Amino acid sequence: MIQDVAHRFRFELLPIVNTRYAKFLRTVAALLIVSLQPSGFGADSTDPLSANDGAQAAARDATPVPHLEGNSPASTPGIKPSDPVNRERNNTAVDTKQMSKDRPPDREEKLDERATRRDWRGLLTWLWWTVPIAVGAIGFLFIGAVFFYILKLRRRIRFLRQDKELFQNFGKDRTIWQIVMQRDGGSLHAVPKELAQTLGYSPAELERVPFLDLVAPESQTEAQAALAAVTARGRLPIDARLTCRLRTKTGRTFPVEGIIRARRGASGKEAVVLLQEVPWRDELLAVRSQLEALVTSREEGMLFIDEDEVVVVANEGLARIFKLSTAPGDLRGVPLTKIGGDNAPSPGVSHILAEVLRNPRRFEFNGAALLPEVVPIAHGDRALGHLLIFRDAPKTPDVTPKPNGDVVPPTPGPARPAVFSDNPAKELWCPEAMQAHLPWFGEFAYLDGYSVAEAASLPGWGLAGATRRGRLHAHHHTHREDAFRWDTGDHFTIACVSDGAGSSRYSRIGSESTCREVIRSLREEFQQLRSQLAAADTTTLTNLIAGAMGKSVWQSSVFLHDLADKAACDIKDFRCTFLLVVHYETPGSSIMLGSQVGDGFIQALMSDGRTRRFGTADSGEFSGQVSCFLPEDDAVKKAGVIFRIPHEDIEAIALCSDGIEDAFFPIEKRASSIFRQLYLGTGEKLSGFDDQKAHPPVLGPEPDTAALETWLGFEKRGENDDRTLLALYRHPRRLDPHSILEETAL
Amino acid sequence: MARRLPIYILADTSGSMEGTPIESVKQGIRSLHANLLSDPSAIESAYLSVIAFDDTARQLVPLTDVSDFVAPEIDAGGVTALGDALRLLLECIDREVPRSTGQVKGDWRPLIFLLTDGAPTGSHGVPSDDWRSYAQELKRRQLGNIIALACGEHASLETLKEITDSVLLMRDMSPDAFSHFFKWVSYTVTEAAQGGSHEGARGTISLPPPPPDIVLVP
Repeated sequence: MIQDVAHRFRFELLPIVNTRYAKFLRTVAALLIVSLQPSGFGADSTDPLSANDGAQAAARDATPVPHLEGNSPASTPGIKPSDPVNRERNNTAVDTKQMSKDRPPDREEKLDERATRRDWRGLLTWLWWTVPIAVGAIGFLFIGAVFFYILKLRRRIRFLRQDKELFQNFGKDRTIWQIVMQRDGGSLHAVPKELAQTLGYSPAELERVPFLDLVAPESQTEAQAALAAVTARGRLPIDARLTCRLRTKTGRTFPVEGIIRARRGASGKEAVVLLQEVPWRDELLAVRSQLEALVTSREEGMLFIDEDEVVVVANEGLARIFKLSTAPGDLRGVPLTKIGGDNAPSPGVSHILAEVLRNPRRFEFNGAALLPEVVPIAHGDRALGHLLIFRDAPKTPDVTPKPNGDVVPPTPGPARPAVFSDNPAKELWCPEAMQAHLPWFGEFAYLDGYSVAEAASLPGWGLAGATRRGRLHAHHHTHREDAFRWDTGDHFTIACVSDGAGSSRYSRIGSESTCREVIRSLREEFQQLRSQLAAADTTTLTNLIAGAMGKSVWQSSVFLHDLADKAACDIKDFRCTFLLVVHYETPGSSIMLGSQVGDGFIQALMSDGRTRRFGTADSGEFSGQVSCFLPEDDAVKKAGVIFRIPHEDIEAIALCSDGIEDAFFPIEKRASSIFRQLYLGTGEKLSGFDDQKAHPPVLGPEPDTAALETWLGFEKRGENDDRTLLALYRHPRRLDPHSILEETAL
Repeated sequence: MARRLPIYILADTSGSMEGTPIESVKQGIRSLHANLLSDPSAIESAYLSVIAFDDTARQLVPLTDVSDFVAPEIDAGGVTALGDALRLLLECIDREVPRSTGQVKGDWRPLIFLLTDGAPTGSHGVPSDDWRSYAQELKRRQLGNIIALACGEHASLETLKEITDSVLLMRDMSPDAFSHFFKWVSYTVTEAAQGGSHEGARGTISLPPPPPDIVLVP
């Protein structure tokens, strides 16, 4: 409310008093001058009110104004008279009807002239007219004018009077006193009765008493500073805040605060002081002084700011923490946003403090970890400000292991046993909806077989293969995802191993389907190429077989794509790796070719007792990374990379899934151990293995599939994947198994 | 040594996580640990590490066998130095996770769970983008499968999306929501421990569906 009154006082009363009265008076003076110059009245239409003062208007009236015609909007190039804007401008300028300077003024035509004037807002400010009056032979010119200012002014004065009464009543209620005093010297002109009584004087006693005489000695400095501020040169009004104590006649002092305004009043340069008694101020000062004593006595950084975020007191601790170049005592009165300043070592201090004030969180500054705390300070219901406290934060112990081993992980205890259970799979091996699309499903012999082993005796060769569900699948009620398949004919032997990707839903179907489709396709191809193959030399035979191998993999991919379409599932649901070895023998030539997609390995035992790897596992930086899987297109392309295996020099060749590779990694080094155990049986477990059960030789005159299944059951911590091994070995053997090197050097 | 499945938990421990959220995270880590101990595949392969970040990032627990893991005490306070956390993560992975060589089978690709409730800020609480270079480094090198959990409405999804494609949003930061999240983490880890035998070279894993109070940010 008080703000509203003050606002109206400042912006409505003062401008009128200072400006419009003066303007009105100037206007009257100008009109008088004009009326005393009857011949000059019609000489031009210069508006006396548009002059800044009467003298200037008179001076202009006395001189011709040749450019007046040019002021007409109609004469301004590019501006059409019909333009409403210009019509408005016509109104704001002198609106005398077509007064032409080119013609001598015709008095008869001028006598009934009227003119209006509008201010910058377009509001009508005055209206004047001329009436000829003839008294005998003497003609007079009557000039009439209506000044709307007068009407408005009276209304405003009435309103302001009401506002003033309202303000005075409000001031009484809130103990606000208005003092008027001389701006220079500060002698009092008007002191309200209430204030005089409070001070123990009568109002008359305080007439012309210097204001500073009423100020208590301890507040003289503040009062003088405020008075000096308002007596300084500058555009009026000038305001200064005043907080001081007044002294009564009896010597008692009491706190007041308020504002001094220098203005140009009725008595010349005067100052108006609005003061309010603040009886609670003493209490606040007491609290504040206690806080100051507290802040300055503490070691930790402390800063007390008032509600305006201006520093009340700061201590040495704060200056130390933030490396302030300003002494803590000099920070009093400095806004929070100015602490530090541009020249301080840490110009961001003010920013940090502002952040802390909003969100006190642990932070580090200049290497020190600090835990700020912001305490709101209040006395009763009156907020005083905030106390910012900066304590050293307990640093979180840095347990980051350093490369030099300063901090190491806890010493591992004995490995916790992992107990896997053997559970049947919960899902059907093949969903019923998909079964109809698998032409071989009816003859699928080991739907529920989690471990499968097969063996065959071929002319000159023996074959043994087995696949075993890994412990992870057994524990989690899921199916084995590895598959192997072999086939043999008059001239060929095909062996393939596939491992379904663990992340694919039907990878077990993908791996089984791939093996079956590849073999089916190869068999068909060999049948179709039978005559060509029979007559082919080694090179032609290689090309034909390699082409058939690539085509068969492509056919398997097509099959799985079709299956995905028919079963309405994603092709990625069938992802699998693939190992393929084809041995084709004709009376004239014999070849063995291989192909690999993904991980796993094809390892041969050479006739000299060494082992040799064929193909390249697709692996990455981390375990289990495979760049592509069948039946994806990239994998089909990769399967087209056929490598030749010098079968004349090999004693045996094994195709193994990654469940074996990972346990025997690096396989190039440890494959000999596999062959030794397969040929000689396992008596003792290999190093690094938790358990290997004893079993007789697997690759003997009669392949022992049971022994192979036992071998696949080796236990090694962390190796719980499906395991599949398919071996093709010479029979009768040409190599003494005891001559297999223990570990082949890389 | 058997191949390990490294699991890094990057927990935002800034001041905004103080109270229930940080207590829920601590409880979640404990329950994750307990769940992993009940899974034999996790017992054999899972290794846990906890990295906390506020004003700075600290590895509270180095990569530790789940059997030997002890859930750390975590306090909240300070700003969100995500950049420092990613930097430390890169350092830790480079130091603690062996890669495959001709002689050694590398560990599984790390699983990284990043929990944050705000936007990255520098040491003075002002927004910072120092995390961006580390995020790009993580993406470029594909050092792990990062799953980011945006806790609450004030988490910067844009930032997390720049770090990983797998961003989850948990609007409610209640203890129940955190509990559900860590159950989901347990499930994800055990799935990864089972099915991690093959993954694409791009390193993306298929995440199990999140619990009802957590949504996958597209």
